[in-house]
Amino acid sequence: MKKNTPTFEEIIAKLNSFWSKQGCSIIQPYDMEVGAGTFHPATFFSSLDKDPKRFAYVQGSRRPTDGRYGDNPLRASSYYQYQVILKPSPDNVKELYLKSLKAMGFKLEEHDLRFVEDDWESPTLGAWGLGWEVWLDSLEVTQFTYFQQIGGFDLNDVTVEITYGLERLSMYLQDTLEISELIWSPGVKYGDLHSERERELCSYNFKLADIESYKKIYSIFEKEGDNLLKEGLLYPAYEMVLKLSHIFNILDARGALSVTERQNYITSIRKRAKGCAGLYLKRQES
Amino acid sequence: MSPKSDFLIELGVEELPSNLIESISEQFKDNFIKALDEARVVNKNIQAAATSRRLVLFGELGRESLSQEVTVQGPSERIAYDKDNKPSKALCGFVKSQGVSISDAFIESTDRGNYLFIKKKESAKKTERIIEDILLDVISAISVPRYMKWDSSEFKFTRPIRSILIIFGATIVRADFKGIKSSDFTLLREGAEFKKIKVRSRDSYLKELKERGIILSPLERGQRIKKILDQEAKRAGLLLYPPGELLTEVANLVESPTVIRCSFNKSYLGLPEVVLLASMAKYQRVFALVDKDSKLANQFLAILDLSPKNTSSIRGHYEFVLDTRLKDAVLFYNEDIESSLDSRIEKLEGIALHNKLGTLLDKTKRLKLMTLEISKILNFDNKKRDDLIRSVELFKADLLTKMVYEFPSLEGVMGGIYAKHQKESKGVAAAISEHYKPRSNDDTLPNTELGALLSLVDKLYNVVGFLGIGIVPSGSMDPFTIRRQIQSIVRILIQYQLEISLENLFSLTFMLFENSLSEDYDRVKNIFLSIGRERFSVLMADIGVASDLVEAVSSVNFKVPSEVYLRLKQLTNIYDKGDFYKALKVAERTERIVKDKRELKSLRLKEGLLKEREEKELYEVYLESKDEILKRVDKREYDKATILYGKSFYGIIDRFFSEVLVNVDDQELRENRKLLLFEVNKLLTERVLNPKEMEVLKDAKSA
Repeated sequence: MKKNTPTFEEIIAKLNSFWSKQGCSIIQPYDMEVGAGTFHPATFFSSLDKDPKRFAYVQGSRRPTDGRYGDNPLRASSYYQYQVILKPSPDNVKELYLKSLKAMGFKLEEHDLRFVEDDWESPTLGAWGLGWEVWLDSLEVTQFTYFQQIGGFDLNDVTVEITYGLERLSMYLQDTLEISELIWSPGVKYGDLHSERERELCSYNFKLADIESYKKIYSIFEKEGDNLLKEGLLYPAYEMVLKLSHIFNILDARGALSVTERQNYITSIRKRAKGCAGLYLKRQES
Repeated sequence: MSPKSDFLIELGVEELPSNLIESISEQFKDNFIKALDEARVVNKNIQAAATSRRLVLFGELGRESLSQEVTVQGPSERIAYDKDNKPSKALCGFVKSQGVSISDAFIESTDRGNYLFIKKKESAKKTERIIEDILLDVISAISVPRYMKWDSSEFKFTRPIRSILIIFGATIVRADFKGIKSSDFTLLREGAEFKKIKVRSRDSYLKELKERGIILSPLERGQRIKKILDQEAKRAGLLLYPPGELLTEVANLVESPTVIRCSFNKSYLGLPEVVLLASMAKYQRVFALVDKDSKLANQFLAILDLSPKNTSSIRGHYEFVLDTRLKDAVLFYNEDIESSLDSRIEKLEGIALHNKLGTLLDKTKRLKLMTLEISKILNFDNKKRDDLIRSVELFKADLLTKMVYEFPSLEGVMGGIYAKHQKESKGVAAAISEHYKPRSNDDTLPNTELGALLSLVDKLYNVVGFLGIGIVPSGSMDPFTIRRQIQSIVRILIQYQLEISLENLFSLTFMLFENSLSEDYDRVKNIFLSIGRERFSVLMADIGVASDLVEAVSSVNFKVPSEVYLRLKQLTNIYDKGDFYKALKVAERTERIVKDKRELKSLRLKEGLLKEREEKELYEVYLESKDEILKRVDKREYDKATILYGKSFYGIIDRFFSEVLVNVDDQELRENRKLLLFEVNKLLTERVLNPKEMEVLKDAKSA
């Protein structure tokens, strides 16, 4: 590795430092399985909140269907997102983003950078926004979205969400095309920490996860979530949404869902996510 | 004429969706011109240009608007004065709001009674001020599929607007547009910075952009990209694979294009070409290259933006990204061919066509029954019948493959590839691969008859199903593309000369749903048939057939579209012949006098009642030519039948009308004469055409 090449942990530290200077609280990942940083309550509820919010955090994300047993450097069942939430969105947000890339160590004049339209939508969260996939030399490295709706509710103060794919960006910065070869910290590689886990998680997600049990616990958590909403316990109810979402992802990876069933699951999760959003808004009013 | 000045407006935007840029740019221009006209600003040669980051208008404008006198309507006379005949509050308020005095008001009568009016002169206004006034509305009136908000202002557009530059003559117009202040710079990205480039004039603006290689015109940009792609392909001794829409898309993603050439591992050439092409075009927007035999090469071209330095590292990255995509594609392909298409059929149960129309497994099973029936009606031999049934069994199975999950646009095509792989007959594989065609009204039909039949039953099932649950297109709303699918059905029936009526196809399809459709059979049938006829007319208009002839022909015996088409074609060929006109004339004259055909249908012609010479003669001509004409019609020689008809009857009909009075008082006599004319009329209008609305006859009438 060349001198001055940042390690994975340094890259994260640089982002933390950059966004901290922009007034973001650097918070910790949510301690549950989530499909993306968007599911972190700091994003989901902040964008509904009436007050300004700025957060940045790393969020380990689970995408069971994307797993390739570690064989594909751009596809993994579990990886790290770096998530930034700015509410309301500042006028110079795009420039801030570009500067954050510079802060990570990118010389942007040596890359082909493109903002490619992407109308982002999370059917399970009842959320959508307009924005872009950011392509760096044709690789999607960031999702950049102006949220318009969360949990089925229109947003007045628009939140901007910037989601970095940390591994992809780091591969460019460290000039390696093997994810496992990424230097996490001096003497420690990404692969040392993740390869075996990735392989085993893929085996589990694709082959071994017990479909019937998963369907059963799904309906248990579904009921639990509904009860919690009735009781007005917002955060526990929202955690049930996260559980449902992950179970759904596992069932999906397992190929256990027909297209119709798939749609039913998505509708079920969205309904409960909307319930949580509604409850949050109600608390805001009082 | 007032003196004019150059102007330029630039909206600096965050990257617009590439597929919307041209429409937005056009609307921006049109709305602006409209607003200028309304504000009475003389404008000349207004042009639009756009990139993903800027929307530009330029041209010439009058320096101020034209003044004019306007009349403004005020309150009615009744409420304009109180009981003492003094001006009421309503009148005082009105004149005050218009900035005139009560003595300026005058009374005029209107449809709704007497009203007070005033006249006032709207004075000329400086064009700069007018631009300030109209620009927001001009932008807001641009219609896009989805609007967004980006801050707490109420501004809505498809992406954030970050800068506004207005140059009029030598003036920079500075104003506040809902929080966005127009100023004297344009934004250009350099590395991680957005540079504010100061602009003094329209020329300095254009010069600054040009120096940075930015091509403002989408058309020019597309041409430039095409040129550098071709050049680079040539350098590699290869040719550019026809880029189609990708070219426009890329032209709207970049402002200053440059090209690089990359390659991928040769082993990937073993993948189906469609997969390689889709991987390149969809995920990376890069361009494929082919050799002189049109075979894909393991090289591709990418268009870069803003001329970055160090293209070798960029090339490496492009190649890396494609490599991982193709690696995935190989994985999908190998996984897909591990199991047969047959093994996926049962899983179609998981895909609902619509919650009221059952699943795709139901569809497959039902269409199997239907193709059996159609094969009988169309007298297919066993081979053709079996191929059709086999195709219908497999045609949706690829929806459950990984490759189609990854590339939805390859549905059908992958099915064909996998069918070939599992050694289905060539015909079956081809039919499956092209059964989604035509995908639009401009798209070509399937190349094989089997493919066309498969497409036909697929679409019939969809439209009859949707109509059957009450989903009917109305106005511009047709979310299930029912009209387009019916048009495709008609096209296929015509092109492949399928001898089957729309009604027959409808009833075969309707029955498949076994009473599960909520709508009434006859109602749905009528909607289906009327859309069918309407689409037939649209198709014929598209290929340039005179619409009155289409109407005359399709209003008669519209059952089997291929037959109607043949009839229309034959009659188009004799359209200019004198005898054709004669035939039309005979049909029209007999039609006009007969009027109530229903009444006549129950009557029989009585030979004994024929008295006048001309009516006897007409009857004789009728008896002589009738069989010959009908024989021709039966043999589908409509042109010959029509000409014979014209030749036989034109002279005698003319004499008949000048010598014989039809509307006599004697009812029996009158009816008998009408009946004779009716018989003559029917010879042409029952099965060939009814020209009553044709333009050529109207012209003659007025002449």
